[in-house]
Amino acid sequence: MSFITPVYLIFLVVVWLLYWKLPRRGQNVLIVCASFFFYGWWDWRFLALLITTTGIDYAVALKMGAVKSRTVRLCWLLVSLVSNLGVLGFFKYFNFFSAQFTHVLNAIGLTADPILLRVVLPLGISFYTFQALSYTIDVYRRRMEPVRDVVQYFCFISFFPHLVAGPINFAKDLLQQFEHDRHFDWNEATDGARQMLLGYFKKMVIADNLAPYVNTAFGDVTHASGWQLLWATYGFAFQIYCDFSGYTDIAIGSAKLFNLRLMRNFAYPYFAESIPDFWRRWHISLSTWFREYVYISLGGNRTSKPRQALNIMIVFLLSGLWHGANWTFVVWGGLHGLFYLGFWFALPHTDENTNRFWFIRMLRILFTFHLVCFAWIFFRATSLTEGWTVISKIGSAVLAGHMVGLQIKILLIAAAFCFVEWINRNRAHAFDIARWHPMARWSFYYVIVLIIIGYANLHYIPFIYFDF
Amino acid sequence: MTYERSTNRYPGAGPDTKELFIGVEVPKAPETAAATKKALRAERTAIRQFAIRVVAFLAPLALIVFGIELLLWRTGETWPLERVIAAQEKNLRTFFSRDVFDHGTFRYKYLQVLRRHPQILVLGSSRVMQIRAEMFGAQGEAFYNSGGMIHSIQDLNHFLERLPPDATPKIVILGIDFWWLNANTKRVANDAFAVGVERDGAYAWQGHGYALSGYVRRPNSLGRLVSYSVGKKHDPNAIGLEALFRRMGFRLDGSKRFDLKIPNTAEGWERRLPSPKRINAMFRNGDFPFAFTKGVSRPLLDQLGVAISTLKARHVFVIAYSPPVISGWDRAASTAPGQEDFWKECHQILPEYCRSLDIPFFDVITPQQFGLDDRYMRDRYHAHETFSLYMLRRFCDDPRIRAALPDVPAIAERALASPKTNPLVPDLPDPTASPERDLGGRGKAGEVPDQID
Repeated sequence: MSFITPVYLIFLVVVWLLYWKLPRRGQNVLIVCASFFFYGWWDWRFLALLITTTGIDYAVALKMGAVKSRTVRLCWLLVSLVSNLGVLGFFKYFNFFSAQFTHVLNAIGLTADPILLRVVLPLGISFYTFQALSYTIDVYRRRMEPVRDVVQYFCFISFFPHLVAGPINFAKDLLQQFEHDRHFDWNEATDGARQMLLGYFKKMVIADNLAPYVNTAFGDVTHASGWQLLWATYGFAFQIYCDFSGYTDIAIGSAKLFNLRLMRNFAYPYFAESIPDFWRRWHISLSTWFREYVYISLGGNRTSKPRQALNIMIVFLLSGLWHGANWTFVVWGGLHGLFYLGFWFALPHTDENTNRFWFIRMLRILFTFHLVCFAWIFFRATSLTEGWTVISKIGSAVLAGHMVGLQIKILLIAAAFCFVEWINRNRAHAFDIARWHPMARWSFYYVIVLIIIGYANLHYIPFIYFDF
Repeated sequence: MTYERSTNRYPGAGPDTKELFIGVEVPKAPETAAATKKALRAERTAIRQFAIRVVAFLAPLALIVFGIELLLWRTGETWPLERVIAAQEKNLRTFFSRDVFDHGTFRYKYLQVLRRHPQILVLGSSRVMQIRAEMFGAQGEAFYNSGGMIHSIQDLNHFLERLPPDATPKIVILGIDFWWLNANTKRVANDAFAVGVERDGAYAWQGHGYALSGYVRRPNSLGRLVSYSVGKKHDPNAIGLEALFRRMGFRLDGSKRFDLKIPNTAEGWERRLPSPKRINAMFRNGDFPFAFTKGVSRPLLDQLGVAISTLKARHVFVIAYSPPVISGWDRAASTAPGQEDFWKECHQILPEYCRSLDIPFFDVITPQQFGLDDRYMRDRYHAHETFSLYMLRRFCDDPRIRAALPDVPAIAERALASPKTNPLVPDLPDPTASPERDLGGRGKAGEVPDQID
């Protein structure tokens, strides 16, 4: 069931009403049942997969907790890694690597046909797999004790708001919330409702209204003009941000209604003044995961500068590949890696220097935004050739001058949205208006609801990150 | 007591650490301390108050939504198709057309076919919708026009696969659009019928959403809705907003009525006539449905053969024809590159192909062959009812068809000779003259011969 269908709202109300009638143990059981129902609404067959991998991780963690030998623990960790990454690799990457392997064989003169499987990618597999790995790795590292209550563990993995598109929560943050009694918190609940409203606004009004324009341009790159592709690239930048952060806002808001807190995933990323800053603001949960479990495992900051640079590139390439089995994502990750290293080498102390002239800050924000947009071209393109075509067409159009087809609608949407985000940039989310007078608050809510009703694109456009 | 959510702080926490999750100490997280009764009561009160607050916030919105839904229901716009059909069977004057919601033409027509078991069935796109039950005399009671339900040969085959044997008609009048045989014509979906037949727009929440959205964006249109649903402009014969606003919609026999005014002057006719400019441009540019192609697609022709053979195997007498296009199209088709071969081939291959399958085929694509002009065309490729009557009369030149449709020649002669007949609408008997008549269904069409040679 998708967040943007009325069924979800009905489901949420029913679960919420039942939840606050139950004691803690009952609440946890309810969360597990509701989450399975939520996930099974899409395809009940993949529930078995979710339950199996979750069960394996639960058992592996208990085993790791029971033994002292590091070697034995490592063996158990390998079981978890193989089962999780094996399932992920089979469903997500098998065809990709099979095709690449065949290309290599053909290139060296051996004729072979790729073995391709017709498999459907289980929804949210990349997210819940990484979440599960964070738990087993933390137990292996003795950062936390394994949880004994199987219901709590299933709550942690399958809690429906974050199940299909994150944020990826860490066991040490979320799991322990299911261990304690939860009490209704008025402020949390109202803030959750507000954040959900923001999420719906971002997704249904902004992202879904930009989607047709972006899809038209990128759907027929050969016939689209350079200017059209340029506006579509800017449009995509806002589309993907509002789509993904909209999902996250609905997820975090939903969780707050149950007095559970999920990890923050976005912190006004387009106001970043550098690429390193961007990655502290964009998809925070994933970048934190890679930092914690890949970058630090590779040596982190305790290695030589060249080795650090290599590690950074590895993290970005893996992060690109995490998004999908396509070279375009690898290039997207690689570009971000290069930009990151560029800032790292050229402006190593950029983040400590915050008291600079506002005009310079604006220029830096604009520069960073354009670097990000450039990388988005490969993220949105279906192949490297297509990405290159887009870049060359945009380049030719811009060099030739004579701007045409300025999309006033896109410009206005972007400007209005940036304004609202800018004035709230120091707050948890753009609709954090608890300080307003109640009358003003309610009026604001009504205006937003009417805008959603009046201007939402109701054609079902799935969240972009459902594909990952 | 508080507990720390995370032991490590890293840049992933973002620019404003106080606002962030990681590393923040969360207040008020009672662990195992038993909640007192007082605290529990206070919590229950807070939950109730929160729920009341949410309900209070939503109440005005719900009232508006409920009010609009009520008005829409009153117009028939949101009626399920089963209810629409039942209402049409009760009142023969009714006509149905939705405006905001999806028409559900596939399902609406298919349900009618299943319900009525017509013995004369018109199959095709919207270009065959002008053939009416009254054109068939007594056989009209067992007639149904499912025009608008079939948009491609794939649709035709899907329909035949789905049609129960006991609902098989005796005569099928099949309107074949030439572009069905063009492999390059982009269709919305090859399974438009297969998907559409399962859907009723009245049950889709998006339809309700779009209706609301329209009234929020244009509050003035609410006044129009009120006047047409509960005000003076309400017409109990019109079901659906388009039926109310534009006086057009599907009659019970599946044909479509239009509220067209006959121009009194030559200038009036000039304004009304469809312009050939647009169709010429469509041919030139290869716009839908006139996509550029080298010729008739053999696989599609074979699929058409499968459909006709299926009908013949069920002992259905098939009359095939190609519906008309306004004058001048042939010049456009013969001069536009990428069009000429296809259209030429259609004229040659389709009659031969139908002859090989032993079914009559009529190429009526040019109105001039009946001595008619563009006044008989509603738009670029939709004819008026009068044209359809001329066409049926021509069909009856074939002795097999004359035997199968014995009433048509007399009705056509009478109607076309009537001074009340105009290029738009022929003077046909009033279908509602005897509203108590049995609406047919199985066994009510004894006039259709069992065997047609």
